[in-house]
Amino acid sequence: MNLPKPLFISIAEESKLCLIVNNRLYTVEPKVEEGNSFFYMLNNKYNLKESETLKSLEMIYFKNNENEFKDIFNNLTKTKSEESQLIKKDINKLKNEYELINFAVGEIFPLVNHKKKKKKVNHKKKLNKKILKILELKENSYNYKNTKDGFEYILNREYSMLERGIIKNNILISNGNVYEIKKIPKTFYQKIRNKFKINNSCYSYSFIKNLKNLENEYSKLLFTEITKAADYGSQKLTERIQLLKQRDNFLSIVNKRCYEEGNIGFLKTNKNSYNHFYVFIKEKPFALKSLKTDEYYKFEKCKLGVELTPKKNKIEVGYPVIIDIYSHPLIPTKNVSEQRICYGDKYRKEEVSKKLNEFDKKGKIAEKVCYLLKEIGEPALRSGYFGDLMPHLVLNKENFGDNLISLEELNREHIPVTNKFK
Amino acid sequence: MADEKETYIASIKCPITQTDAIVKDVSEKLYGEPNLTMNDLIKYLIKDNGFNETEKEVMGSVENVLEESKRPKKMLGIKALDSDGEYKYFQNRNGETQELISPTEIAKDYFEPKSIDEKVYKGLDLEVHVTPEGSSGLDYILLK
Repeated sequence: MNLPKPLFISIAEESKLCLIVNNRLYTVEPKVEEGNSFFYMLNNKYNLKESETLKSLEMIYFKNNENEFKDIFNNLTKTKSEESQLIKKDINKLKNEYELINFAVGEIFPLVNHKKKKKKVNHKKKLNKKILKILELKENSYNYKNTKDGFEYILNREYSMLERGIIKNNILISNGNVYEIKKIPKTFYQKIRNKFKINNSCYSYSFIKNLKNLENEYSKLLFTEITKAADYGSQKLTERIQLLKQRDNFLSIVNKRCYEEGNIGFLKTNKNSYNHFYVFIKEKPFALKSLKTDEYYKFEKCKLGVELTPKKNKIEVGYPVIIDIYSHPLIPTKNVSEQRICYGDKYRKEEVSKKLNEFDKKGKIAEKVCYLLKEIGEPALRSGYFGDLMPHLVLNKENFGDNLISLEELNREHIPVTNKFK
Repeated sequence: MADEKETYIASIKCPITQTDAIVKDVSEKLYGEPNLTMNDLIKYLIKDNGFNETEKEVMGSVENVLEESKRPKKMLGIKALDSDGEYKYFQNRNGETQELISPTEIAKDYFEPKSIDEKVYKGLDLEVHVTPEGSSGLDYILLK
C-alpha cells in the first residue's frame, strides 16, 4: 500500500532548515525581516517562522489526500471482508465435526450409560442473564465513538501519530538529516561546536537519523493506524474477533482426539490417511472357551466402536469394529486395528439389517448406534464364538497360543468366560 | 485496540441452598494468575464485592462447606456442572473418569467454550460439597 507523501516530510525536504519544538514546526527563512523570533547559527541571523502544530499538519495531510485515503480504506475493508468469509468457511467446516461430537456426547452417551436426566436447575435462566450482562459490558468497551467510517475516525483522533510515535524530542532538520536538540546554559555555548540560538536561548544539536528513515518509520506507523481504522470504520473488527473466537472455540472442541464419559467415549483415528470418528464402549477383559477342548483363552480389554460419518444432513453409522490392534476368532486378521467383527450368518445379518432399517426410517440414529454397540458388537465379541459358527480364526493354540490361560488363573483374576454354551 | 482476550466467566452455587449462583467475570484474575487453583478460584468467587442478599447466602453456604472440609476425614468436593445443571465428568491423569475436581487443579484448564445469544465465552459452573475421605477413591486432596 503506497501512502501519499506526508506533508511534514515534504515541508522538511523543501525548507533548508526547520525545527520541531514542543510539537510545533518552525521554519528558518533565509531572509531577515521584521519579526519576534530569530535563529542564529555561525554568526548568521535568520527569521524563525512559526508554522502549524504536528497534529494540524497531520490533519491537513489527511484532508489534502482525502480521495486517496478513502480508496485505501475501501480496499482494506474489502480485504477484511474476504478474510471474514474465509474464517466463516473454516467455522462451517469445524461446525460439522462439532455437531458430530455434540450428537455423540449429547445423544448417544446418555443412551449407552442409561444416565437419567437430572431435574434441570432453576437458576439457569437467571444465570444466563447475569452472563449476558457481563458479556454486554465487555462488548461495549470494544466500541469506539464516532466511527462513522475509517477516514472520519483517523481524522478525528485526539492525537497525532507524529507526536505519539515518531517525534518524541525537539529536533532540527537540515539537508535530509535529523538532529536532536537540547537547550544548554549560555556558559557552554562558546565551548561547543554544534550549536545555535533561538533568540537568547542556546541549543546544541546532535545527529540521530536521516530524514528518509524518519519518513519510513512514519509511513509504517500510518499504515498500522489506517489498517486499524479500516477495521473500526467498517465495524468489522468486533465481528471478526467474534468469528475468530468462534473458530477457536470450535477448534478446541474438535481438536479433542479422545473423550470418555464412564464406559463410553469417542475417538478419532487416521487410518490410511482418512479420518475416522468412532463412538466406542470399553470392553473389560474376558475369556473364551475352546469349542473342542477344555482350553481357555484370555482376551484383553478393548474399545468396541462404530464409525459415524456425516453425509449432508445425515449421519451414516458403520458396523461394529474393534478399534484397538487386536486378535479375535471373529475378526479377519491378527494384530490389526479397526477391524469389523463378524456378528452372524446371512440369516442373522438379514435380521439385523431389518432392524437397522427401522431405526433409519424413524430417524433414531442414537438408538441405532446403541443397538449396534450393545446388542450386536458386544455379544459378538464376548459370546459370539460358539458351535454353529464359521470363525475367521479357529480358537486354538496355533492361532491364539499367547492367549492361553488356565481356569484357575481366570478365577483368580475374576475374568469371566463369556462364550459358555450348552 | 480492542481486547482480544477470551472472557472467562465462572459461577458457583451451593447444592444446599438451591438459590441463584454467584456469577463473576474472572478473566482479569485468570490472565493475572494463570496458575490459579480451583480452591483459589472458589475463594475469589465468594469474595464479596457488592453481593446482593442471594449471593451473600451462597457465599455463606460455600464458606461453610470450605470450613467443614477442613475437619479431619472430610474433603472439599468440587463438581462442575454442564448446561443442564448435571455433574460433569473428567479424566484424571491416569485416564480414569471422575466427577470431582481436585482443589489443587489449575482452574483455567476446566473452563470450556460456551455461548449465549451467539456471544461466546469460556465458562465454568461449580458446586461445592463436603465429601467423606476416600468416598470416590480418586485423586482429590484432603485440605489441611
